[in-house]
Amino acid sequence: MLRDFRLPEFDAPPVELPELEQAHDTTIVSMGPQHPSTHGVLRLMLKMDGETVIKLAPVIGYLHRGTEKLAEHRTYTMIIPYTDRLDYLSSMYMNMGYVLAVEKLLGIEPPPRARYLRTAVAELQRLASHLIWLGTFALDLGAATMFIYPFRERETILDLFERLCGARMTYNYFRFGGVMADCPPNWIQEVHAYLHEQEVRLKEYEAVLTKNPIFLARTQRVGYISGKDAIDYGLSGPSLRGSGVHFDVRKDDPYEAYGEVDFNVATDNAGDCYARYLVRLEEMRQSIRIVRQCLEKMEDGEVQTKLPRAIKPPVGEAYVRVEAPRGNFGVFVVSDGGPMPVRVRFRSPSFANLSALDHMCRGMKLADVIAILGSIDIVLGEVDR
Amino acid sequence: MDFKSFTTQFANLLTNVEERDGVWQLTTEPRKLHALLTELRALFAYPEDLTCVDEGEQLRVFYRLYDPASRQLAHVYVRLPHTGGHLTTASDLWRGYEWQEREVFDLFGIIFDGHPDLRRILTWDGFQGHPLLKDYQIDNEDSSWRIPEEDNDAIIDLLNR
Amino acid sequence: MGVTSEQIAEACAHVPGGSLLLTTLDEVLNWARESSQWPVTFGLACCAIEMMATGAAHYDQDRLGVMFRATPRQADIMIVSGTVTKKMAPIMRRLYEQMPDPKYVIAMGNCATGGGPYYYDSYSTVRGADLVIPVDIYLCGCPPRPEQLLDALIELGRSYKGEHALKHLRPETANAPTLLDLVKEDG
Repeated sequence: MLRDFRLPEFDAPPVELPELEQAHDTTIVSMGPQHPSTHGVLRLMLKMDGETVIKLAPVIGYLHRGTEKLAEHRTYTMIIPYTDRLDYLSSMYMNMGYVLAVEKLLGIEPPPRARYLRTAVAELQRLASHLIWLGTFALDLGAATMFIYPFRERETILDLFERLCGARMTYNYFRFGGVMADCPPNWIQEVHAYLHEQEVRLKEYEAVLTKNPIFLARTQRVGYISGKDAIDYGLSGPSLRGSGVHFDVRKDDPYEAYGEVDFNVATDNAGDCYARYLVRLEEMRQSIRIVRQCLEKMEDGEVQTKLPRAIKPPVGEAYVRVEAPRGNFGVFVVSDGGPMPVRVRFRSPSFANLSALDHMCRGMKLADVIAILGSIDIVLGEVDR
Repeated sequence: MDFKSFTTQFANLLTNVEERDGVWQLTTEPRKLHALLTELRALFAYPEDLTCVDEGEQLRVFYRLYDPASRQLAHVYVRLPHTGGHLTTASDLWRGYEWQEREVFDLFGIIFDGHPDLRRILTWDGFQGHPLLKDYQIDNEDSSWRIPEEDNDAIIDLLNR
Repeated sequence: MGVTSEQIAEACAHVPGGSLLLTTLDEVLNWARESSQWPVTFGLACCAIEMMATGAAHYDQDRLGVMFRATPRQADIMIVSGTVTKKMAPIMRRLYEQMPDPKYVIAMGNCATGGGPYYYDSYSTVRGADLVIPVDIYLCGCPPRPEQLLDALIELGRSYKGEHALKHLRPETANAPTLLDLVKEDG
């Protein structure tokens, strides 16, 4: 169990709903699409009885850029930068999902050094993504100092990525059969130094938030969803594991070097915002473990297999899923032997996670909606594609 | 239940079966889809994905189901004509398919009978056409586009239901 | 705050001209506005994350007087950071209209500048924010680095020089078209 203290009598959901159905003096509030707390352009239409939410309907599509349609008019390699911009907080993972799918079609595998490098870089990206989540979640709840600390650590990760591939945010680092370039000299030592510092800083974040009475009052018993409902909605990632379901694609369906490293899957049974917070903190600790092991096991070698200039996978289709920081990210590629794909489909975890927001917010107060939205951690670039 | 016993027991609902890399690949007809999915509901609890591929003369709808307990995956394929295709909704079986079906309707034009709220989800109010069909021109610089009025009536109806 | 009037008098004695400064009201207001640009939070996509990073540690836009305001009524610049889609365009226009004068717009990133490197042929994007609202500074990059955004903010501040800060009180601007007029015009 992740938490070391617990509220008594937790088993029942927090609010009785039948009383709400009879509320007769209701207002409809439109929240967004421009709002500092909606993490992007999301519009929430809320039916409220005073301060209590009776029903919630999210309206999305304000960032729909037509990525899937564009992918049918670009060559396979040209699509990799588009994947960066889907979930722009975990660009490396988006790259990885798409690249693995096309590699499955092509029937190739990256060399061992590239595999470990990719896994290490992906886990560093998970750390960066969870740091942003922590910063914005705390900021939404009002803890403005906690916005600065994680962003400071994230800047170190971005410096590392910039030394590695030249970009701070949208990397375009993965290639079919490997990665774009090998790591520069001293990069590995810098990563180890960063990881050491991050462990110390994680304790600092915990000292600010984990036992903070205001934080506890705002996140415990807020946004409850049971494990069974979570599976029914298709939730994934920390939102699902916070409800007690042990589903992590890295363990169920290992890819890259995850089968060769040792790590635990973080779960918590409470199903509320606090549980999801604890799960993500624990995931950060596990990511540090994974990066250390990958960098130790990495040996010298090539970082990309030789491929022809024009990538033309054989006729067929492939579906690959990876455990992105927000959940189960799936990529479905259909090829007809030509230079451009017939169909590319991105199964985005935030899309499914957002569809359960209505369920989690019934009976909560308006301020709780912000906390719940922050705890399920969506990115609109991925929801709208 | 394993692949062989399932496919023998429900052979009347399936037109084609295959097991590739441990993943069940089941093909069926549109009118038998809901019956098949009802049988699969008992075995697969997680609605992983629902999408569609435009294959030229026909559309192929693809349901991907997963069961975390047994770690089993299943794909269900249904072929529909290019326009005017109808399917029975699966959102009464898995709530996760509610939004996915709205997306397939928005981008491909397939109507899901019995869906509680079949509206466009990604494109804007007043959008004509279904973008991911192959005959939809990508560079649709809609010259008559002007700043659209927002249509809140449908959402307010949904909230008041 | 611990500064006494004798200290102020002493400091003024070092300024050429002593304790009497001659300037215009416009210059003083422009100088004040340069260090007090308050953007409305209008993060759309990936560029918004770099905008947030500019506000966080390391780059810290607060030292330049830049503070995010959630409501457009209290803001004087709008940083359009991210792709403008056709669904979002009316909201962007409405927010721009709600900002009080004088107001400025920075189009941050390639998507806001000209539609984006990758979305130039998409059915759902607007090819640049300047098709919907007037833009003052175009900042390219995908996404631009925080230093570039700071540069844009400083450049914008410098451009206030020579402006008549109280121009919105002039009668000729009273009949500027609003959103309602534009919609009626297009039929």
